[in-house]
Amino acid sequence: MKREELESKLIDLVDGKLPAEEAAQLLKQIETDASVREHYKQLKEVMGAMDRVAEQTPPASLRQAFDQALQEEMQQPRGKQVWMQPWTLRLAAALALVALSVVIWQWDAQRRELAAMRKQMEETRQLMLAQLANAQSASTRLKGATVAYELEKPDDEIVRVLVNVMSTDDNTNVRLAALEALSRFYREPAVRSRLIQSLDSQTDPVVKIELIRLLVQMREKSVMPSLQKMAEDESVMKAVKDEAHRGLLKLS
Amino acid sequence: MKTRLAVWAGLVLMTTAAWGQEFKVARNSGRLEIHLGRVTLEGHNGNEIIFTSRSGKSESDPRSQGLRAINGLGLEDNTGLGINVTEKDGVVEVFQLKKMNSPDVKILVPRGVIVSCEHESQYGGTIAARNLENELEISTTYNSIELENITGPLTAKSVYGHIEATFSNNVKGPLSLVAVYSYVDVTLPANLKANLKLSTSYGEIFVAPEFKIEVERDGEFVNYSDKISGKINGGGMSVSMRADYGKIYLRKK
Amino acid sequence: MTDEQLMEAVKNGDLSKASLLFERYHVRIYNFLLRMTAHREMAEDLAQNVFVRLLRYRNTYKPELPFKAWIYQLARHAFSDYYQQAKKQRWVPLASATEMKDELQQALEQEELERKLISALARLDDDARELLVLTRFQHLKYDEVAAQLGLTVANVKVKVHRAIGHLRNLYFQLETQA
Repeated sequence: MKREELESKLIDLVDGKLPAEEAAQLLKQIETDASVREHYKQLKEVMGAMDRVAEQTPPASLRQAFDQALQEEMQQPRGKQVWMQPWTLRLAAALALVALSVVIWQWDAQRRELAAMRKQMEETRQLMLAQLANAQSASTRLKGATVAYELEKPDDEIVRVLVNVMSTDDNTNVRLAALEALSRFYREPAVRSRLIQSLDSQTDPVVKIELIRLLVQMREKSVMPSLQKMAEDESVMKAVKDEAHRGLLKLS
Repeated sequence: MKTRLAVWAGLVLMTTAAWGQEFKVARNSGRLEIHLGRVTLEGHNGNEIIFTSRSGKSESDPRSQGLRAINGLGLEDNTGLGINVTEKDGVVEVFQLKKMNSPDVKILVPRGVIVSCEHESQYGGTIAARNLENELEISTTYNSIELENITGPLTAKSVYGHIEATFSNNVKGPLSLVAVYSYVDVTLPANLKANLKLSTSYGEIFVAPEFKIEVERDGEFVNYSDKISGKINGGGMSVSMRADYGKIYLRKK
Repeated sequence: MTDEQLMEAVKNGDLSKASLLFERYHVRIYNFLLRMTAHREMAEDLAQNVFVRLLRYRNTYKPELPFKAWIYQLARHAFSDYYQQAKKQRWVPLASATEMKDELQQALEQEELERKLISALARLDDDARELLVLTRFQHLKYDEVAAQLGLTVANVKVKVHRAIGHLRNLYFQLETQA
């Protein structure tokens, strides 16, 4: 047998791909011939080493860079966009501002800065919305909610997404973080009414407790009938009932 | 040398005896969703999710010879460990077969896998993890959660159980730990840069003096609950802990 | 959703679906490039480049092709572009010891075996290394690799076996030197 042919067979043997008959024959040869044995042993070792090499975890910066690239790509006007919502108009306005500031670039540094800031804000906003929508990872959604918590003032889209996350996310911690972010804007009438509306539909007891607490702090008397119902409903978890009960005492 | 060898051999034998059964799934990314009432997770460098059971073989029943175990959900024991493992759309799902009796399962998890544990039933034990660098999501109603030498990111919730977590030096945020009736006990590296949020309604908060919290006052409400939010070491990743009726302990490593 | 359905959605403008593809493939692609370049930062840069290409060139994706084949193609192009450029600019050749340092140091804590392997791997020529990385590390099937490289399955097998043989020589020479 030629050397290369032999080596190929030995490799198949290590891989367990050699037909039984040939394998038996080859094993006999391995037993009797020391040089073949050594060859086999070395192949086994090097192939085993390849099998054992651990897959490396990519650095987190790879995901961040990708998220950013995705955001940038989303702002390109080409291709059909599925999010032709009103706020894209605002985005277009921001982009127009950027364009304008390029024209007057040389003599209007101040405006340039403003445009850059807007762009950055828009990017942050996009990133946040994408994070909140990440189905794979609760931690990424949590990150998104944390970014929302830092916002000066939310727009309708953000409020809508946060309310949705608070009411439907699979993960309690994420729901709580969304509620926390919303609670910072409780003075906004839109946020306030959404919070009130969502009390009855909240399914997670832990989030419900926090929501009751918040509405009570807001002195929102219109939720009293809901609280009354909860306090009397035997199927409601005790901690929720207790909170509803305390809420009623505080509001009345 | 000889005695050392003997000791090693002994140890190896013991572990193989204790963790007799093994089941592997080749996978090092995607999600692992665990629906077990009791489990110990450990990180490892390989490319396989490795399941072992300490419960040993399920009680031998001569009558069941030649039959396969199947439960009300139509799940069968396809691992020999008393659990069912399935894979679809990049998600590996793990179910226990008996509602009231959780086998004592240990799972070795490769690094890139996102781990999620969810358990609602009151039967079961502790959800434990150690030496884990994975993204971790744990949501339980009755089970306690005990984590040791993990990095995060972490979301952990237990309604009736407690949460204990010790983080390694290489913490990756965000971290969020929520308990309702029991305590949350967390150990973090003293130099961690974080934005902390600690809150309890009827419990107390204890913090190691090494953590100097620059408290941010919202000033919005006069709080009847105890709520602290502020930066440590200048601020950074988001770390939030909550225990409605329980106490919060924040220790330094 | 399958990879192909996701990519088609991306092509049709639902860019958010690209996140899912990133989740499914970034570890694999990063590792492919890490083994090809033996350089962490380079692998990260190139992996990012692959996913940027995925977004930019989404219109060139043909839904009847397996997505996996397409993304590997992007990755191979990213690598060869980098390699061409490196040659033109007279950068240090890939397999040189200096360039290996980064990877070697990282591997220091890992087993001696793995270190030896990575070092031997880096001294293989590019084609052989690519074949081994695809078949042995990324566990692609021979027919997938054959389609990727425009070879027959039998040809791939012969080449993979030769590459293993060559790797064995490099691997054990290394041992005698040490």
